[in-house]
Amino acid sequence: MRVFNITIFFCALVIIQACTPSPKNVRLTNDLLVIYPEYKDVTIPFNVAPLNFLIRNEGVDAVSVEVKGVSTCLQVNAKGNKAVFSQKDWTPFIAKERGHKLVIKVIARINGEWLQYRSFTWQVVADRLDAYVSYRLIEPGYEVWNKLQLRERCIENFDERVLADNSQTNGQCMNCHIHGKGNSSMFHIRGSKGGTLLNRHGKLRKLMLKTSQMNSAAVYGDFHPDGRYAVFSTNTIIPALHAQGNHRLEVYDTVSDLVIADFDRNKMITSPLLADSLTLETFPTFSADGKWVFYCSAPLVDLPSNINELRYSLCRVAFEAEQQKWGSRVDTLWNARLMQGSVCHPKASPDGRYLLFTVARCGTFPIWHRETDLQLLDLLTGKIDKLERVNSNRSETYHSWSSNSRWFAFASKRGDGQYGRVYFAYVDEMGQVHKPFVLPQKDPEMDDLNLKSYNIPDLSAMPMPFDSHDVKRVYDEVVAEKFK
Amino acid sequence: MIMAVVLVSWGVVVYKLSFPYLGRWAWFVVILAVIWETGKECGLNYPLSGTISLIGIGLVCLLCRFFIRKSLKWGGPISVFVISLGYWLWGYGNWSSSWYNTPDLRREKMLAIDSEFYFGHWQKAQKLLDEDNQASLLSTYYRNLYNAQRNQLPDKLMSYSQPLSQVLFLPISPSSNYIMIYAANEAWFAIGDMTMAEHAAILGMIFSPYQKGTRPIKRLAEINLINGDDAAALKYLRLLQKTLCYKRWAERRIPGNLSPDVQQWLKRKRELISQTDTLRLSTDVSASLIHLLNNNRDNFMARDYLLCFDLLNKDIASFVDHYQEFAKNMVPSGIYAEALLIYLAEKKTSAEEIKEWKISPFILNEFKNYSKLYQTSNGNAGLLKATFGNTYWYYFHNALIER
Repeated sequence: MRVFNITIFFCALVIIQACTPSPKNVRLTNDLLVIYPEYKDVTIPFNVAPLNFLIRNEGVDAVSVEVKGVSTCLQVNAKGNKAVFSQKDWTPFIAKERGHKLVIKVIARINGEWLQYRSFTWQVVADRLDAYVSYRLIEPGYEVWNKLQLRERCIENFDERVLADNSQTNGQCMNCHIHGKGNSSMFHIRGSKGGTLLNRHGKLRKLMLKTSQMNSAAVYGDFHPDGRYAVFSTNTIIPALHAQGNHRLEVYDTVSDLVIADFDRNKMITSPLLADSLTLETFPTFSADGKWVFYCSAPLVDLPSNINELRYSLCRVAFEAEQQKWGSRVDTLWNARLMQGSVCHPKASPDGRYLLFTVARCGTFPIWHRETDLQLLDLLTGKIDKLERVNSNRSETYHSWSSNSRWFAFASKRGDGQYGRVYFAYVDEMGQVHKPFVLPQKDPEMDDLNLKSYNIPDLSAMPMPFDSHDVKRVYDEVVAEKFK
Repeated sequence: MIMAVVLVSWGVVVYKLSFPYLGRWAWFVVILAVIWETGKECGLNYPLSGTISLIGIGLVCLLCRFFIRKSLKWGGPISVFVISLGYWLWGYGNWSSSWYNTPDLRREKMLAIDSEFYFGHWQKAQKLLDEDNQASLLSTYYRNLYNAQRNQLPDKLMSYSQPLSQVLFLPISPSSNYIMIYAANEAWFAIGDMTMAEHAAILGMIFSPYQKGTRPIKRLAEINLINGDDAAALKYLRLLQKTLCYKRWAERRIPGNLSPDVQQWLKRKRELISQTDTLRLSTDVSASLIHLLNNNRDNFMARDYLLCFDLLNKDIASFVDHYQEFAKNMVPSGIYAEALLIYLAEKKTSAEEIKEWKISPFILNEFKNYSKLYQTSNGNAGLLKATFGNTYWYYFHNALIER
């Protein structure tokens, strides 16, 4: 009986082996290797999930991929056009290869012939990328929603969980989740039972961030480094559709001001300087030391007819936390009139060195502006890097920093031009920004099949201490705390 | 076929469950159970998973019976465990919908009209519309679209019931029915406003079950091909290439590899699209149509939709403005002439001036007759309808507009 079992086992092994194609009579080719995601010559962290990819060259029915490191190598032979690595083999391999350059050799079978393409590389760096990224999954319509989820994905593997689900909150709109220092985070749920859900020290609170002086509830926001304060814009938002080509949607404000919320005293701190009815102020963010608020500002123009003239400058104003007071002077760091562009979404790196922002031709909704690019301002030298290695011919925006300031995540519509995907770019010690890579998926075809955009990816070092059930409980049972 | 397999499985499970107690009469129970479940499947909202749940429950019961027959002592606890597991695995069936469903023949009719339009079978669609004597939002929407494509919208607009101006462009919301959701982009697509068509198609996808469907995906591929956004078109075509039914359709549309008939179609569609840009609210139908006309004065569908939109909203002032801007060189036919006469009468225009509008003497005479009857009958809708029921004058005086 034992002999029989061993025989069956070996036969099964032989059959499995026979089914796995292995290259024979390989011919070198100069043909361009087309892979998705575009992982050629990217820089990756040592703690990333397997970079599975598929080969888009026509007629590929088997692949053989070798990832060669300094000490060892990974090998994948598979039928079809997908190179999928085992997590079990990948994690120790990549951890061992930190600081090294990996060489990826791709051999594909087309019409029975094995072709070896020109190899490419992956630079593995020892700087850790924050292990979690949260995002909202939404169809690329934006004006209307039906089913929304905020999800958190572990970048080190393929685990994903739901942080909030609008099917549990009366179908209300949910705005994107943002993190602060020390595992704090917040997001807005709209509707009569809604409010801003604040997670601070693991405790969930529901806040009504609206006072009679504010033109709307809080919209875009960011945490102060000490977590006690957050700065918000209040916006009257109008969505409108373009008529030509694929410009699609434009969203603009008719009124917008800035406020700072004090979460300890449930109080709004305002300033007449930032509530000017002739000036639009939006996308505020704190500097790393919390002493400045960076934001975007534009003189009000007649909208929508003059949308092309609506250009936001990058400004800053002081904030004195101890005295709970806004500064009295506004500095312009990037002048929209002179630069003939419009700045959105400034985000300061946690080490205080850089300010990353988006520049579009005009307006305040750069997602559908194909020309939208990221730019990096060195706050020490004042030099601006146009990030040519990062940007594409589609929009790049909605970025966030890793807690060590060595990585940033952003949403880009490169690829299909329609659906935003999460990319990560490395900033080295010299301030050079490397070619980004897209969030890896267990099945590399996932991005092709997925009909939702990844909206506002936000990095965090730790997983959030709540899930959709906690959000439902707070939504249903907790009365929103009022602010003065 | 999937349905047949599921229903047969359901029948087998019911038979196995009832045979030990009913003997050959178990067949009767099986037939009843299968008919009952088939009836329930007639409802669009009853999911197939409801039947699969019932099969699961039946299998769990069979398993429990097997254990209990073996030994009540240990079969009982195992059964409790299996039932708990079964509850987790299979839920408790879909009891939320009604106990039975019957085919909704009205919905079947709407599906037929929608399908014929979707597949471009115009004659069949027209035949179905002619046979359909019950006015509905969807049938009127398609009737208007059909007439507009044949340059007959103003002539025929009043020959059938027009519930609201929404029959020109269907509104979509989470509560819209399944057929309307998918149909809503058709008018914008035919007129040439690709942004509005794309917006409606994406809304269709957002509000459809599981937020996906081949119909909006096909439409989104077409829209992006027309707009020249090949990368976006490829996104949708790649999805369709993976399907059995739409693989060939997708392959004929792969950018760089378009079949000749698709190239011709693309050329025709691109003639209608806007070459300049503007911003408008998604609800501002007039702004969208005016922009199309400013780009292409020969877009007769956009012109008729704009003028008829004004008329169905009883907005005579806007109608006259738009008419003068986009149709003043035309000889006004049908309802355009009738509506112009309302405007001219309100302005107390002289007979000499009326001549400049090129309105046919017959319509002028009819207007006099209508006015006379309106005055003598004190606006009696019944009397007016008998003679002038198909005129814009009657609609203008009697239609109720929801604002």
